[in-house]
Amino acid sequence: MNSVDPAELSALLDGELSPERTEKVRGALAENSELRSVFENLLAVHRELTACGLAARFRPRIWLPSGTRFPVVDVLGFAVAMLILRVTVKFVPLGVGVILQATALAVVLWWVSSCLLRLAHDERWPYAKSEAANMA
Amino acid sequence: MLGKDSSTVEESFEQRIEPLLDRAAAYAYAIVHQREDAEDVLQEAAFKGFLAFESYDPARPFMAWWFMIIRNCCRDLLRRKHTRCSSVEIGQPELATNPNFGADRQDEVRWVLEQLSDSHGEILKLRYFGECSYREIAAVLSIPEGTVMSRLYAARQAMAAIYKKRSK
Repeated sequence: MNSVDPAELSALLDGELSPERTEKVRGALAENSELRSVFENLLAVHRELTACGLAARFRPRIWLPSGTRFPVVDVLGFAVAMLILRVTVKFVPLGVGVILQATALAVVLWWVSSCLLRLAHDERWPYAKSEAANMA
Repeated sequence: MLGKDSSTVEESFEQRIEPLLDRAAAYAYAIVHQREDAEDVLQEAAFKGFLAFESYDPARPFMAWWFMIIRNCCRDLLRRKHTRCSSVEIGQPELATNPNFGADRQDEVRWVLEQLSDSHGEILKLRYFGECSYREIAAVLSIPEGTVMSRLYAARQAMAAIYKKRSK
C-alpha cells in the first residue's frame, strides 16, 4: 500500500512538491517497484522534453515603439509660450524683442528637428546592450 | 500629471520581457513550428503587450499575462495560415541546432507532441518550452494548480504510451 497519488510522481520531476511530500514520494518509490516503473517512464519523457525545450530556445529580434506619443503637452506649452512672447515683444525695446524672437526661433527649430529625429527612429532595437554583452 | 509617463511604461515593459525572451521564443516556436513565424508572433505579442501594459494588473504574474498574449497571437497566426492554405504543408520544420540534441530527436519529440490532445500538448509546451511553473501554467490556462499537476501527469503518460507504441 502506498498513499502516493501518481500525479505526485510527475510533480516530483518538476520540483513542485513540498519537502514533506517529496520525502514521502521518494520513500514510496524506494519501496514500490510498480511505482518506480511508472516514474522511470515519466522520467524518460521528462528528459526528452527538457532537451527539446532547451534546443528550441533562441534570442528573437523584438522591436518596440520608442515610447514617444504625440506630444500634446509640448504643443500646448509651445502655443502658450508663443502667445506670451508675442505680447511681451510689444512692451520691450526693439533690441530685446529681436533677441527674444531669435531665441524663440532657435528653440522652435531645435524642437521640430528633435521631433523629426524621433519620428525617423520610431522603432528601435531595445536589446542592443544585452546582445553586445553576450557577444563580448 | 497627464497619466503614466510612456517612457517609464516602455522601460518597465522592456525590463520585464527581456529575461523571458528565450523561453517565450521556444514556446512560440513549439506552437508555430517555424522560427520566422515564432519571431513574428513574438514581435506582435511584444507590441500588443506594450500597448496593453498600462492595464496590466501587477498582482498577477507578468509572465503568465504575457504568455497569454503570445498564446493568442500563435493561435491567430495558425488560424490565418489555415485559412490561407487549402492544404496542410508537410515538410521538415526548421530545427534549432544543438549538438547535444539532434534534429532527428527534436523532430520525433515534436511529432509525438502533435499526436497528443490539445490540452496535453499545450500544457507540455508551457512546461518544457516556456519553462513555466505550476502557478504560471495555472494562470495562463485559468485552471487550478491541482489540475495542472494531474494534467501534466496525464500528458506525460500519454506521451510515454506513444513512445512505447512506436518502439514496438
